Amino acid sequence: MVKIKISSLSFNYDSIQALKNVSVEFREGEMVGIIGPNGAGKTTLLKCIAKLLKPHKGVIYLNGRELWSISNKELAKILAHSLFEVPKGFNLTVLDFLLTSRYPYSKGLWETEEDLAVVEEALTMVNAKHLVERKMEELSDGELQRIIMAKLIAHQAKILLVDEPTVHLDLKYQLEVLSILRRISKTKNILTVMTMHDLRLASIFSDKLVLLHEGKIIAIGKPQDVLTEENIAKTYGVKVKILKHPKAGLIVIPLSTL
Amino acid sequence: MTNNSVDRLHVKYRLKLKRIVIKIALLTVVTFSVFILSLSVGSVHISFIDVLLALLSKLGITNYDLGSLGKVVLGIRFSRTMVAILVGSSLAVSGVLIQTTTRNPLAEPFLLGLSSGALMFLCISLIISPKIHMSSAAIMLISFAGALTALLVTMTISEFLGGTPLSLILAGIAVSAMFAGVSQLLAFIVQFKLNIPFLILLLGSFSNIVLTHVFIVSTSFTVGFIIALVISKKLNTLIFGDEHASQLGYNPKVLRYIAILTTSFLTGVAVSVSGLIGFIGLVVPHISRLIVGNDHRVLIPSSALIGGSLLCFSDIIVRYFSIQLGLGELPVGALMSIIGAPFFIYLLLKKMRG
Repeated sequence: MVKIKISSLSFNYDSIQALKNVSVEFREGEMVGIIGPNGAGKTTLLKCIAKLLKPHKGVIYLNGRELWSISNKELAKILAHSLFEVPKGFNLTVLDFLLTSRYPYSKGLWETEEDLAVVEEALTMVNAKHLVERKMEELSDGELQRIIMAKLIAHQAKILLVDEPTVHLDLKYQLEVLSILRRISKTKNILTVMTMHDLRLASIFSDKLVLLHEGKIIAIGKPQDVLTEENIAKTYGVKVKILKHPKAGLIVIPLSTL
Repeated sequence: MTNNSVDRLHVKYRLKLKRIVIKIALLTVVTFSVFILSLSVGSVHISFIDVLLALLSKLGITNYDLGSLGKVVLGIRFSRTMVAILVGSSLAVSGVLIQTTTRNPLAEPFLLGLSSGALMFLCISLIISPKIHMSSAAIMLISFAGALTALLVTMTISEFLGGTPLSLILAGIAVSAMFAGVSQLLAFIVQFKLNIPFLILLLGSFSNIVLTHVFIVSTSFTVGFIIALVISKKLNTLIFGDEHASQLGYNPKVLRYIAILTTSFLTGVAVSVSGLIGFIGLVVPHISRLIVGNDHRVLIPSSALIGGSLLCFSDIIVRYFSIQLGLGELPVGALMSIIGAPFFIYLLLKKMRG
């Protein structure tokens, strides 16, 4: 059982209030999409859940326990996120990167046969086994996104926090990456929280959408309830027409800025 | 077939580790060979066989008399050789630590001002109290404090400049120049107080080494190397960013403090016995990565071996040419700069173009 309860959370960057009184609940098996215009606080919310930023007010509960009372060591086996950087000039390989995701489970100095089997299975799941020896800095955006998915799988966490999984990707990779996320979240009953820019993809792949605007939650619920012409006008400042397509989700057509 | 057992990841990984073990064994052999060569080369030539036999009898395995002159020469040369290897290893391990914690492939203890900082602190304390150079502990502490101060100044300035990889290097070069300038003035004064030639302090040399120096650097290297090995696995996560390290259960801030303190200690103490020797901390980690890859658990020991043998070999070359030219001792630090600076330019070009 995994459950996250966020209760009246506020976070400031110096004088800028990034999150204001945010309260929301997520549970296992759910795919949650966090949407909202630039600067709405999407990534800040993700980082608060990941215990990377300490909220100024409010509490996050993980399975009833306060997030900041859980040690990093223990949290490492429950929660995985997609935030990292690849410094240039070191020739770091995909395997260097993926093996680190097994560290929370390793007892000795070296990786076990099982660790490598887990990494291999993860690579197979995202169809990227051929990339294992490649340098991270030379991967294309699509390849890198698949490696991030492999890393999240190999981490074997109960909660996945994914920051903009489809950014810079072309159509095929967008679908591929989100399908992978949905597959692992449904087969392994994992809670996935992702920030998204593409509203149509968010409507197809999310069970629940959270619409943020200026750090506040404007709407929470099923995609068709959140993505309304009125909500989008209010948050994005754009007049839109929303079309429902049985297979392609909600199509948001921007008409004019308000 | 893709399911072929040879194609399995753990089989490949095992094989890779096996190859790395062989490479590290070879590097150990190379280091030992350079060590023997260094004992043999000099104004009085001692053959390899004699060196080996003398070493074995020192360990009580054989009984071999090298003669009194040989014993004296070998004794002096032993100190010099050990210090060259340990200083090279210390600087190379410092290079790995500082490159990883700053995530900057151009970072290096000398370029970031650590060496000049240590030298400046040493000069100041020697002027205030010349007796200080009698105490190994005081020397170690002062040079450590100097290196650490310089590094913190560099990192602070770099933050103000935007904290990019290049701003760190630019801040380091500025801090290094400033501390080196002060050191030059002070070293000029110190040379009269201690009777150590001015150039040796500034250009780096192993010509005035005594057994105490071996004790000092072997202590600092042992301590620094063990700490580096203990944090080596954690460093594998830190290189992918603080956020990555922290989600895997480590504290990136604590890890960075440990690495910074260790680097300052290793570099500071190395400078206190050898003077300014630059670029070894830049060149060696990159060579080492080409040979064993990026895993710090093997990168740190292999860098120590390569750094030790490279600096000791450079010292042999310097000694050889000093004898041939009959001009007295050439500074080994200058040779390292001649080798290292072009490599730095090459890395800069790669960085600016890529």
